[in-house]
Amino acid sequence: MKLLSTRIKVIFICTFILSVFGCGSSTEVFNVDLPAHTLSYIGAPSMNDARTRFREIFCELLESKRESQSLNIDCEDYLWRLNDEPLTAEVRTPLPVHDTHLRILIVSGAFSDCFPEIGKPYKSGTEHLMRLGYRIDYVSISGRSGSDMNASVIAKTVANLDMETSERLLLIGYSKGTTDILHFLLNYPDLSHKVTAVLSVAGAVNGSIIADRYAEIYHKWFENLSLGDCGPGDRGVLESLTRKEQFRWLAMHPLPQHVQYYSVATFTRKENIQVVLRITYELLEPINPLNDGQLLIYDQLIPGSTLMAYVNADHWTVAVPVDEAFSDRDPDTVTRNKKVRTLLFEAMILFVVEQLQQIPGLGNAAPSQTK
Amino acid sequence: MNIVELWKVMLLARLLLPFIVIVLMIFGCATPYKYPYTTDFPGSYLHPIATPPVVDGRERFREIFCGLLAENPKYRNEAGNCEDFLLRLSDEGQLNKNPGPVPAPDTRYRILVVPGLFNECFSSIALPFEASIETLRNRGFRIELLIVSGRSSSDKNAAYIAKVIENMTLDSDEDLVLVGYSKGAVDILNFLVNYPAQARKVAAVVSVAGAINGSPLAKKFANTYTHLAKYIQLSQCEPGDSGAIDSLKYSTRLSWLAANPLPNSAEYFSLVSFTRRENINLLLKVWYDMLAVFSPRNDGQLLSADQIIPGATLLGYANVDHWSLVLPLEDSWLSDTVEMPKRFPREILLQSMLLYVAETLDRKQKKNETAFNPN
Repeated sequence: MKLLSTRIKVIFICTFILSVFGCGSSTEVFNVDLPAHTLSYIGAPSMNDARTRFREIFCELLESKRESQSLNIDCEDYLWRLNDEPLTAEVRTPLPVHDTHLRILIVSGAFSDCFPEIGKPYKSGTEHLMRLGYRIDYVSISGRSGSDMNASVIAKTVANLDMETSERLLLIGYSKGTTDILHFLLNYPDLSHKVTAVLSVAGAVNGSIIADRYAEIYHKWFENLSLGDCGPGDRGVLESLTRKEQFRWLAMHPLPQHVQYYSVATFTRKENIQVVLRITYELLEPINPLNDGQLLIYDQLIPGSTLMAYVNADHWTVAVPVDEAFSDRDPDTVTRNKKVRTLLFEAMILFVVEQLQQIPGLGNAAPSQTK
Repeated sequence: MNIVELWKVMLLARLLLPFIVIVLMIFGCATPYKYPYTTDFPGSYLHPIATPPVVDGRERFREIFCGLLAENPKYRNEAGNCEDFLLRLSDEGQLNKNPGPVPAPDTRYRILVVPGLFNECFSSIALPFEASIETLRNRGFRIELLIVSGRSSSDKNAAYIAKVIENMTLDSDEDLVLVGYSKGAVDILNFLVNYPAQARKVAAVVSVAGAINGSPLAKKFANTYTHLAKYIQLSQCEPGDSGAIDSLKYSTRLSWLAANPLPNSAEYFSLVSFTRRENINLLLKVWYDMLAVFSPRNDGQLLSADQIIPGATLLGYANVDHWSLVLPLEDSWLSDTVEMPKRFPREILLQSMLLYVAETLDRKQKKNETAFNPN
């Protein structure tokens, strides 16, 4: 009798399970009531959280330029506030002072040289900071090559860089540019000692599921095709971006500890994703709607880095002006995006300047320029 | 728009056109990517950012597990299958040809095993590690089950665990080791944070396929369960506070972990389970398929990346589904209706975990003594 009753219970539970899960499809809901989180390999170092301070800097900068630049955006709308971010202090610390002893190299993402007009991240932001006295250069990576190939390009650039002794080198990686930088640090340990800090923006740190999906198709059909202004490189771009390659690489190659790492991640709602990226957003959505159209929220943070922010933007809008050339967005939004990108770039640099000044031995005695 | 701007737009359109065509061609009718099952990929875990790093204890745990398997006459025929029972992922390294000795049984600790969701509802089939606990007790281990409410929230079960521990008679030098299976691991973590006075009696926590981050299944299941819970009459289990499924939501678990650093007074260990689809119990397959959208590394209930306590020592990856890891389903009538995975040596697994824990605690104690008494 007892056995029969157990059988009935199990059958009931099974019927229940099948009625609930029968179709086997699942719709994930966009929910930001979550803490900041990341996918790590076993043994990865802990991260630091500096979202509060970065928010202060960004918001204050935004307020200081709101009128002069007609910026109709709310700071809280541009930076996501996840449920573990501490509230901003009522008494705000003043904005850091610019320090032009920070020498900056920017590494663009995949296919960036195919579309030079729109592939360079933070073009207007760099122009603005160069006017303030910063020395900023773009590394001429090959947008269709693998990370090891681009690591050698970065190495050559760093080796030939005319740096003054008082200067500290910041490498900024956007998307696959971050991956290329990490490979450079590991492959060229001597040159990596010239680097003080790495800032990743929407970095493909753990690789991208999109690349896993399309690496083979790209390899078969498109790697020899002419795409815009760029050559095929070593054809390894998508292979380098796959999670199966990049995450495996990361797990086997602990990053050098003498470098300070900073991460800015991006994700946004589907309606904010620009039209071409919406297709890839929908590919990632069943896994996690918190994505930027190319990368999931938890694949963008460098292990052991300091988390600066989650920007409410899609993968391109956060750094490159694709929407200026091709998008379904209205001109006002496109103009606003350009202005906010410039602001974001300045806020990121000010944040890094301040962070480095707080680390013994890295601070610089001669801050220059004004706010 | 002047002629120069028009020319720029046309130039850009010419450059972008092949790219757009390619994007539309390849992504047009795309389906989400499903990763193939492979062990040729490192272990990973999802965690709130500020949590402590995970320590890799797989090599030593494998030594103990395989050593025990080889010396146990009951598993003589299985000894060669040690590598099949514990998955070797790409970041574990090669087999140690000169493994360290298996530690001697250490029976100093009081061990409580906390089962998971719906545990007492199916107690007539079995409770987790039930037979293994009996065997180990006969060998001198002081181990028992701590049955919690299978349908209650983790906070409610945490209160119950605290009460049981408060009423336990422990010698002053006697420490507790808590072993949590599935949701049982979550109940234990909530207990440690909610009842710090009682938590100080705990020297170690072992999570066995623990629902540490919850499960993507819980969100879908939660509403339906809440509505149907009142109609489900399972004679052997009370509805409790009916908060069990809510306790296992991703947002609940990750937020809880981010807001509640675990006490440093205890050591943490995690044993993870996942296996290929053909090894999954027939009743779990529908869930396995749902989880496979996220990763094929799942055990039919949980993703492998969700089973590790932040700051814990990772013991290993058991090649078995969520139920067969702890329940002798092959001995029940269910074996008539489902494809059973290979008989998993649960007794060896439980003993290996306890020996590993005792060895670690011993080392910690010696280290503390040296630090306290440097001469």
